Amino acid sequence: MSTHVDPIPHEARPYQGRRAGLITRTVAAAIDLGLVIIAMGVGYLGICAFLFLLNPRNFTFPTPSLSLVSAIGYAAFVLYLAVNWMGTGRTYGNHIMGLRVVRGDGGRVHPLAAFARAVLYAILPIGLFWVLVSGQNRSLQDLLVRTSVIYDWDMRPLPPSSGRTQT
Amino acid sequence: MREPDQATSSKPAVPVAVDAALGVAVLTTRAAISVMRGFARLAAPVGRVVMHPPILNERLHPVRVVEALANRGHEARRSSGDLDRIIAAVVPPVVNEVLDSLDLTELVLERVDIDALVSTVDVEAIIDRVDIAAIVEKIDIDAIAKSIDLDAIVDKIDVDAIVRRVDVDAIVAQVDIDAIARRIDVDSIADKIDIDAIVRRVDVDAIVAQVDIDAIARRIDVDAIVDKLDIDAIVDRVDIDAIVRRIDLVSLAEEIVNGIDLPEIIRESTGSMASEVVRDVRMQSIDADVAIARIVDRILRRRRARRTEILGKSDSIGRADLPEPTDPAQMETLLSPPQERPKQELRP
Repeated sequence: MSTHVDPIPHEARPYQGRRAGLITRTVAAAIDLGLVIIAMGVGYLGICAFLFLLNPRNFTFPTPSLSLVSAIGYAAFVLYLAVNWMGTGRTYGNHIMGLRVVRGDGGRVHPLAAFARAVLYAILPIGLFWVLVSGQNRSLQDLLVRTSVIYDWDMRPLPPSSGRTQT
Repeated sequence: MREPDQATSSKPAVPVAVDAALGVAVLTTRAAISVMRGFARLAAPVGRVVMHPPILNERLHPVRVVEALANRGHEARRSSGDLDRIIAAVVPPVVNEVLDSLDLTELVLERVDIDALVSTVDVEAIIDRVDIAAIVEKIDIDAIAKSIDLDAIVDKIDVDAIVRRVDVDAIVAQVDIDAIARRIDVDSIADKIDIDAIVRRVDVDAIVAQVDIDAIARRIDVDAIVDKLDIDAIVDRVDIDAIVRRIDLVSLAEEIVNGIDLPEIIRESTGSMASEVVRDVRMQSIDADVAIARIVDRILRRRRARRTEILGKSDSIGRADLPEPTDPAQMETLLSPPQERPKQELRP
């Protein structure tokens, strides 16, 4: 049977496939950032537990340097963003807010572009605010890597070579 | 009876001098006749001797000459117009005078037996002698007809009065309608009628407009009609499979599902609070996006709407022009036809 049920509510359908605004994208980025921080905390606790199990009597909490933590955090953040964008096109924050990162034509983002975009976001997150100035709701990273962030409440992944701009 | 003065007034205009001369002539003539009669008595012997001299042969007597002259004069008198002139001059005035003095009508009524006179007239013989055809030929009927003012005649006719006097019932009662109907060849009349031309001239719309269809419908006993129908037989004759095959059930089901907002029903039935919260957060963030974009566009005095369509279509709709998110009817008009998709789970 070829029919389908559109899972998107009526009130959200007009926005599907259009570039998202600053608030939604900021919320999604905040969720992602918080998720990475939580993941690092969890990882820190895991390392602590592992060290405690190895030597319980002399156990002390490790105190890594800020540069190391920052490097690990940046790396984790970039890896997290790049892997999600080159895969489903959406991070968990994007998933919660109903966003998806796509190419200019709506197709799936190339892995290199996804990695470059993740690096640029990690280095210059303020570039997101260019969305307000841009007449096309595009951030600096979008302009440099030629990507777009669209409202896409559809949970299905994008096909590998074709875009989906309307639902 | 005529009045005397009226009779006098009808006299021909004869001069008085003529009457006076006529009176003198009458007196003179009478006097001359008397004188001549006396002279004749006296001169008669002399005249006989003169006319019949004894010494002459009888053929040579003067009386022969006189007789010859008399004969000549008699002939001349007969042939001459003098007497006619005299008569023409004398008789008409005399006759007129006589006729004026008489009431001829009264005289005829008194003296003439008109009935007897009429009874002697052979009218049939007179009619037989009349050549009516010749008379008719001499009559110019066209001229008579032209001279007749039919309009005036018709105006003078009181048609209503005539019609009132006509006993139509009596006339109709005398008519043998059956005999007339038997003589009518209905088929030949029907063949001559151009029914198509008649139908083309009929304004069916005007006729239908005058028909009170509601009144007709009220008079129809629908229950009685339905009672007479064998619904079961009708249903048996219906090919339901053929009807179902002609229905695009897929499209119909798709329209129904989209129309009833099935995702909303599923969400309500499952009671997923998380998905409800997520949807609210997403919609609120979208509203916030639109609001902030409008504010910034107003600050930047941007006249063109934002192009948020990722393919950069020229006819795309900017977010600033989008309808309110809570107006499903307007949103439906903005939707493009849904693309074909595989079936999937409904969780947002």
